[in-house]
Amino acid sequence: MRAFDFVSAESADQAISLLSEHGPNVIVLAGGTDILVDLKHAKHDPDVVVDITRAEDLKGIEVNDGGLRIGALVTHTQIMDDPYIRENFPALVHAAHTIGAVQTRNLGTLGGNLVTCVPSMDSGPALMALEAEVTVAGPDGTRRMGLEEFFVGPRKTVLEHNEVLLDVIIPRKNLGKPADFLKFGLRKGQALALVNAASALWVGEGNTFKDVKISLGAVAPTVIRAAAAEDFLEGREITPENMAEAGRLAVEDAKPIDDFRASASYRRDLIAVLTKRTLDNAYRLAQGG
Amino acid sequence: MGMKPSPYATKIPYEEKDNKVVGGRPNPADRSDAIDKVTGRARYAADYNLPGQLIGKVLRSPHAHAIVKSIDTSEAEKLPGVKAVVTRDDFPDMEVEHAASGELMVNFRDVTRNMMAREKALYDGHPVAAVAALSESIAKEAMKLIKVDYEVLPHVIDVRDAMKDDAPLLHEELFTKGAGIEPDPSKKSNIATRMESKLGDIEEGFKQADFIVEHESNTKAAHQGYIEPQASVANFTEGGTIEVYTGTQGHHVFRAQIAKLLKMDISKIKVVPAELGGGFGGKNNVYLEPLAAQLSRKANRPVKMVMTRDEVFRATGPTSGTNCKVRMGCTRDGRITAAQAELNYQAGAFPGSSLPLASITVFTRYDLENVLVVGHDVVCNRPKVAAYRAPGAPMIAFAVETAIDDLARQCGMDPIDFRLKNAAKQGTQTHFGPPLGQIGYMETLEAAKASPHMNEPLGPNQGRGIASGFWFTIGNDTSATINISEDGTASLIFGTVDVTGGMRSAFAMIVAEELGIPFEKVRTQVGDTSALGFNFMTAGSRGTAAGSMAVVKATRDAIHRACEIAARKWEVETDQVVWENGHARPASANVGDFEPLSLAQLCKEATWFGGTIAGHAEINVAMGGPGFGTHLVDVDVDRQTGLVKVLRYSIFQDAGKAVYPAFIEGQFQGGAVQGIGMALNEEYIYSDKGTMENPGFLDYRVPVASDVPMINTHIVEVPNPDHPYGVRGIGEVPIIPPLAAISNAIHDAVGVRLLDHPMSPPKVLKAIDEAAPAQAAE
Repeated sequence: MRAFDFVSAESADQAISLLSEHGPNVIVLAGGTDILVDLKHAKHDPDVVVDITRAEDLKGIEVNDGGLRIGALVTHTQIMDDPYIRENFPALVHAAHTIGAVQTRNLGTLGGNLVTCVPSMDSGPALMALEAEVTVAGPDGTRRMGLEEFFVGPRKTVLEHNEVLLDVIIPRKNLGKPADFLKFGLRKGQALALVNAASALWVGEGNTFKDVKISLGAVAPTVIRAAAAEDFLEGREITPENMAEAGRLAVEDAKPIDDFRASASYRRDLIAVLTKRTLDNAYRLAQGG
Repeated sequence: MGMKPSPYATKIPYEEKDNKVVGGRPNPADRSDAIDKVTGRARYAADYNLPGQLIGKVLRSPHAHAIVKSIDTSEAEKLPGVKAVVTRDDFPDMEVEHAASGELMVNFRDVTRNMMAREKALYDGHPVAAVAALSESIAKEAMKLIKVDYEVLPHVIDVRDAMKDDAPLLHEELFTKGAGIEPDPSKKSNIATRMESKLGDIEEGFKQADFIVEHESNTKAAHQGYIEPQASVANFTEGGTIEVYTGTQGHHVFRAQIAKLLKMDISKIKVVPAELGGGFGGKNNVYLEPLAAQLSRKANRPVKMVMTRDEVFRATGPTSGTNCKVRMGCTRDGRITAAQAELNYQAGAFPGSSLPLASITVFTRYDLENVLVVGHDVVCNRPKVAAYRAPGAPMIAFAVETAIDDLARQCGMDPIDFRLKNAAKQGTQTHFGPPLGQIGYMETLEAAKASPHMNEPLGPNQGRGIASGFWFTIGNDTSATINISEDGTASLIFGTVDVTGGMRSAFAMIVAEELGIPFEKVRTQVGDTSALGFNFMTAGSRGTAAGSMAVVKATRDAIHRACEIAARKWEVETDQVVWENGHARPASANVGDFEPLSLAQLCKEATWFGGTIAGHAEINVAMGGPGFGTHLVDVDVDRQTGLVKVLRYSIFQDAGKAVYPAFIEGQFQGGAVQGIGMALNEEYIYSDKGTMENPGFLDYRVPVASDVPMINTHIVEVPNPDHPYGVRGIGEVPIIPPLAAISNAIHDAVGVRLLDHPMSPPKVLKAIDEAAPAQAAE
């Protein structure tokens, strides 16, 4: 680790001005679960670290006219403990629960997980399946976008050096939408996902798939939507066969890699299985079970 | 191992009696190391700091196999803040000389080369230089300035590849030696040793067989996974003495090795064993100690060195990866007639795997007439293998206990009944040497059979597996001293490092039992090398078994001294005084009518009657009291992902007589969890360049708490007849059965036989898909 300057922001606006002032070789400290490790191993060599942990306007979980708003600084533990989320979005609770271990979840933030933008992030898929949008703030104001647009590549988002992620919003139309998230890692805690999958759906007339959204993690440069699988299901009857076919189609939407953690071929097997299972679980949830 | 039993080794017959303290369950918080560990006050090696100390770092080879043509340290030495640099030129070369280091033997010619590469770097992570500087960051900067000129050579990682005739050779001077083989100087090889042991006539045995099963298993190297990385602080004084604070399972053995490697007198060196954050055999070897000492000598200041996790994985001994072939035959009614095994064990960069130990465990829990065991010790471009809890045994048990399962199935017999029918008992001839004494293997099988676990219902894709294991209990040099303080409380100093199994408390219980004083009135400490005579390592499950023998002798020596004081006071002979319930008493009414004297009362009289009450023992404990265990496991197999979940796990093991049952249960559980981790997940993964891909806990996946269920334990008690408290070694047996038990459970659940370790989801899925493609496609 090399020496750096440390400044602290009390609000998002102050964070933006500090980032503009000290940039471009600056990094933001939120939960610190990633960057403290990186700093120690000198993967980052910033001139200035901007601490945003005291920015109150980046905190809080609330339901407003726009939908469910989760501040970027909300920790994974807070998501797991929030009564509204527990009641309405068990998939988000599952996703938060699979991250790291208790200590990591107590410190790590939702915003941090999204901004770090590793393909195997556990927060992305369930939010993407629920069509979550993010608010990005910079010197020229704010902009809203879907996660598909926000994620650019491995460890790369649209954020400029002087921008911060304000919050994540699940649109009002999706409040209470049945959704499920499954992570497949090789250990229950402190494991990286080999594949992550999430599905969200409404049950349409005649027991059909309606507005079904499927998202996958760790199988492409960023978290992705499984468009072919979604298109196939839309309007079709909800049957195990159709779910299995969607699983097969989801494999075609993905580009998994071979590495020492798992082969691409095994990851493809998992995509099919997990996609089907998340659809099945989301449907059960819709049935009240 | 490999040592002849000495006729002068100590045995004390089992004394059956009702104990007041031993066998009880004191409050766990009274365990002497408990509170300090929980509150962070326990001092591990990395917690020691000496005034003026430097920080040492090791520069390691990035290549799996390379000639080290030259090392230029001049730029590094010029960097401000760098106080010393050492390379191979700073250590004397060593002749071939073997010594016991824990359960494995070491050869000093290799020890010095493993600690610091000489002619070649033989694995990714092999040390080539070490630096001592004012700070870690300066030391790291200095390492970048060291120029090493490597000539990279072809490498070999897998044991089967290393055995091939055209394999890249690690050592120019290595020729296979061993059973039936004269070293042929024209035939260089990576096979260092061939071993063979047999019983009866193997061919005849197979002729008698109605069923024959053949298994070939392959296992990857697994690491001990101790939480505390290696750490050492060394201070070489101008007076020519060294003090070393280090994490070790045997400080006396380390002292002797440091003396040898630095060509010093043993008595000039003091090694202080720090609190140990896990070892499991992995802290039986010197790595940093000689480097820190030599850096300290050069810099004339204390030097502290702590490994990173990456260094621990890349350069400290994992267990052997193996290839095992097993062929067994039995009659229709389930009697094993022949048992044959070939064990091919990775030794890492230098000869000396766990093969000699593994090979005596192969079939040792069965009563067999015809046995042939052949083994090969094979070098390859990996870190030198170190002992890991029952070194080598889990891997061969993987092949044998799964073959037993398949034989039982062919006979249509229950796997427990099949094992009972063939179980070893007192008098069973082993294939490697002596017949077995009084043992409790059958009792573990009976206990498993009678356990409620057997009645737990299993759902679809769930299965139950069983497997057994055997491990010996070594004896060796053991020392202890007990000092009775002026107030009648006791202070025990012993030399068998408490590797966190709870020995300190077990010894306190034995001392309390012997003296007749409360457990709380005994303090027990591990003494450094200046406090006691030579004491062998905590290895081979000897800690409590051998250690307590010296404790009993030392305590009885002190009791004798206490009785002598009473006799002088009463003006009778010492043999007219007995020790009962914490008091000296007249041996009979004829001796006289004297009030019994407590230890505290005797202490008050001690000065007048000759001096302080103390006792000591320096003994070579006889080997004996082997342990046997049987495990039951239930698993759930996900047919679509290959994920195996452990649902239920029970252990039945003969502990001899339990001194501190709660610690024994903890050891059973810990061993099984390590075995489960190894079975399902843990493996060394190498790139095609021969570098380790997963040198960290993120990708070397030891299980976390939520990966395992509560492990049920059942202590079977068949006393060790050669120990006064009937103690057997217990620490190593529990890691032996899990691999095989889980493979058997998977087979029971989904009908596929896994013999390729680890039984990770992709492999299990592949096996299921190959067995029933249509079924799995679903």
